[in-house]
Amino acid sequence: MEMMNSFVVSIPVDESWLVLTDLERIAPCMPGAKLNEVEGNEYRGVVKVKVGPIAATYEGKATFVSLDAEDRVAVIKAFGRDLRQGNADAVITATLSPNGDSETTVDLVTDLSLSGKLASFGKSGIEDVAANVLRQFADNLEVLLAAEPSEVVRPADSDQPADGPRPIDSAEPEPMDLASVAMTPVLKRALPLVVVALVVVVVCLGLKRRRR
Amino acid sequence: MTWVGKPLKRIEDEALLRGRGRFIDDMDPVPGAYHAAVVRSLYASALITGIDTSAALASPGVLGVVTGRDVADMTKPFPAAIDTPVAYMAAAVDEVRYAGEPVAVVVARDRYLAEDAAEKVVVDYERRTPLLTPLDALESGSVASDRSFVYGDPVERLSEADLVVRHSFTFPRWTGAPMECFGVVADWSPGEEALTVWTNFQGPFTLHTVAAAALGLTRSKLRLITPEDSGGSFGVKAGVYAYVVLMGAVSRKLGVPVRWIEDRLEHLAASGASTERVTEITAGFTSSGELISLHYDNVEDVGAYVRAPEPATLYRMHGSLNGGYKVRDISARNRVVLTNRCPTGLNRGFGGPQLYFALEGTMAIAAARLGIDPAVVARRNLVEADEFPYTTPSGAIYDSGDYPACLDDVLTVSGYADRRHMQADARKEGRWVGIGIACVVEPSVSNMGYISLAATPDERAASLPKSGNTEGATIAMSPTGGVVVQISTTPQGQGHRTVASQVVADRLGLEPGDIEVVSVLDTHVNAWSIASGNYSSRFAGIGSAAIAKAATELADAIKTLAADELECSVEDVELRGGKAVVKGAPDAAVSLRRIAGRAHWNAESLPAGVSPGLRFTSFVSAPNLAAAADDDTIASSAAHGFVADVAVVEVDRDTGSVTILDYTSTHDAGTLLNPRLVEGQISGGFVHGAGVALLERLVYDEDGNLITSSFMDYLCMTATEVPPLRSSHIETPSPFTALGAKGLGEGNTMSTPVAIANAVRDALGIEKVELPLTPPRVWELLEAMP
Repeated sequence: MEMMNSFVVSIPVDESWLVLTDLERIAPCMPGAKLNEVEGNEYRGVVKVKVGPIAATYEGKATFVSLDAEDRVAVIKAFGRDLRQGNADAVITATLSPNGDSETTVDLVTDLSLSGKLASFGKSGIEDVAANVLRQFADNLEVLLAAEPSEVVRPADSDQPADGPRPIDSAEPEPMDLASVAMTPVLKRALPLVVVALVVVVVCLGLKRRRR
Repeated sequence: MTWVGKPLKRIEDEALLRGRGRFIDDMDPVPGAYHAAVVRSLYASALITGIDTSAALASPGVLGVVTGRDVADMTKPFPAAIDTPVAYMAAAVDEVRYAGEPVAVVVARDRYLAEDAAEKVVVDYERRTPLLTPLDALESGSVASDRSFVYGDPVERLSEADLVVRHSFTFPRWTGAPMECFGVVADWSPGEEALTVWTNFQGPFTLHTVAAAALGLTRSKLRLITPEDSGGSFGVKAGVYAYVVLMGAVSRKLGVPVRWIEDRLEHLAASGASTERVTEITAGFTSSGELISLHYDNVEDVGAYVRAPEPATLYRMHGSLNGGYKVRDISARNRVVLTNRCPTGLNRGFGGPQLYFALEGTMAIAAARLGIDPAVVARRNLVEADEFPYTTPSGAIYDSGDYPACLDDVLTVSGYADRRHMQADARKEGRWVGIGIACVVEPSVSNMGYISLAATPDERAASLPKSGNTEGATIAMSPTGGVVVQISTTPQGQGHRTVASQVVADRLGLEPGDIEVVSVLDTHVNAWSIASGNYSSRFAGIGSAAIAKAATELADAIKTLAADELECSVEDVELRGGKAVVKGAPDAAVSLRRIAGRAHWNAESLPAGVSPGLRFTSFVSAPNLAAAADDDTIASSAAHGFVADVAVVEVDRDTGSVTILDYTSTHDAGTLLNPRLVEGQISGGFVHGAGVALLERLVYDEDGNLITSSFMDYLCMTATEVPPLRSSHIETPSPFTALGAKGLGEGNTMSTPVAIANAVRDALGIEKVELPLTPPRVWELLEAMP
């Protein structure tokens, strides 16, 4: 299935391109998300989700397919697995475009394939849920941008080991409590799969930064 | 004969209503059995590139994990009636072909631990693009069988037609949704190299042979035992045999008894389903509405594998390609295709819903185009009452009936003429009311040989012919005169024990309450044969006949003993009121208790012709069920009932919802053995048929995931949706069944979907209609209207 989402960031497009591709920086904006490590072209992260008494951890990894800094289009292939709920495969195309001089519109096209229980429950609500969670992400991003200057600190080349994964030290996230998000019951049961999709999006957006 | 024909209450019900039923999950036949959880494919089509069971094996309480590779090392592919391009195994090995296919089995101390560990089995896949519709499969060349049949000269007759109807019909994939899902307890005995399995299997016992073959066992080394009760099946539980093999292999591999009870998610995704069939009809009519030429082009989607007894769905109705009509020139092309969906199997109606959706839909379309009332068109074509037994072009022998009388009856009971007036008035008010008719021949007691039509005459010649339909029963009288009957019809809630007690009571002069009927089937104990089981509505026609025959043999022995005792001739003895009585001399009588006591206690005294023990096992086979002939004709069933329906619906033009305003169904099922059970069976068939007409469909997403995976999304009819049903009966006893009875529980799943579809056609004045007619579907139809 194909999902289309967009949100607006209140910084100019050149800055957005840098910020949104700095995964390590923006990952905390994603409710429940944590980036764990990076190895070569592969980024690995998790999203913790809680629906009432049920907690799940979705493990995601993403690889970079193409990056067009000129047109500001990134294409990412991603895979998320929760042994209970099933797998998610996604190809995400993120396009950044100027929205006036001071803002950026981020358009996401996600071609999502789901399996297992994820796929079986209520795909009908997924787009609404995606929009909802993405709104939270965008709001958090705004807060982040207001609190910090939008300059990007790039890790020195020596930070990257010659081979093997490089662990990323970040705080354990609070699980995203889906029960606190006001939604219809149908939307609630679709949420886990949306979260997987979104963590993948986040991972992927960050990916670009690393490959520059 | 006094009890057969009476609306006796079901002897099964009190225990069920008190919660005292004995279902598979109530049984603990092998104390200490381990619990299994099945790891299933996440993808509709993929290669398995790795299975990591280490975390699962390290989980608490886990005894072992058995992978598809392990199963393959212990089993063989399941045989089927046709050669198939892909071997069907109890679990996937290198490749998965549908989402939900078993990949591995985790066995643990209890079910919770097994489920937890199953979640730790990591399977890596390489995804492939799945085939998900019959026509996509056809286009991709995923064809397992392609046969053509011609009876008469339909091409020549078509050239004479005044009206040619060409129309494509798609009957959706749906299921039976029994309350109780599959259950298996498997116990491999290493010393005897034999497997005992307790399971809620429903037959046909041809599948016992299939399971034994897959396990590499002779039939006597596979002992199946069914529980006393089974919580519905509607055909679906025939498919449990694949899990008999899977759990049998697991028990053998791990050396422990293993228990597996299926959950609803597993059941809807991976137990079975009906076939989805695309039928393109080409039909020729005269200007007066006579059907003179009929061609079917069938594309039958049997899912990921040709799983026995498939492609039986396509051939079960083969003798009845003409339905209830006189058309003699018929052809059919039958292509069986494989997709990446769960393999199909039995579901109430079994081929009938698919056939009649096309045939009766064509009749309605033709009537509308000709401007003739559909009842008149049907009446013009129906086989007449004086033509029975009627041999159809494709070989069925319609045993008895009065089809025009049935149609007349349903038109009268439904108030058809008045309904047409009401419809005209409603239209003036801007309401969209439609009336649909369906006339169907309902076959029962199928011929064991019909599936062989899927093979060519030359291929058939290479194997032994198959024919008939054998059933057995055992009856015994105890030393104190008690009667116990063992039936081999594996009831799944239909009330076989009640009817069996009626049949036996009549023959022994007892009351039904005096008869104990045991429904447990143990393949090491019961009188069963290859055809045994609970399918093709065969209890009324052949199950009851086996019971009647065994009871008659017991009655004859009792009469012989009584004649010896009473010093009269056997012919003068009758059994009534628990006694053997000399006809016309009520004082000359001896109790059955005394006779039974003598037979057991005083064997030396038995007269000639009476063997000791008073236990009789009898088998019968329905007549006129010859093997498939070289000209591809087949008497596909022994008995043929008839159903004529009138459906009146209203379509809400704003919401697209379809409301059934009135539904009338007239059945001719021959002699009615128990009218109360008859009404139950008809109601059940009607609800099931109305379900697929309005709500029920197994829906897959573009990746091949089942998205109707719970009862929240797979919508069955519930009490609030079930429309009123009026039923009516005509009885023309079958000359081919012992009691004159015919099957009747499947008829409305054949007639109701198309009757409702025809009513919607009539309401909207359109031809193209797809099931189920959910509000969104109908709304789309409305949007597409000019």
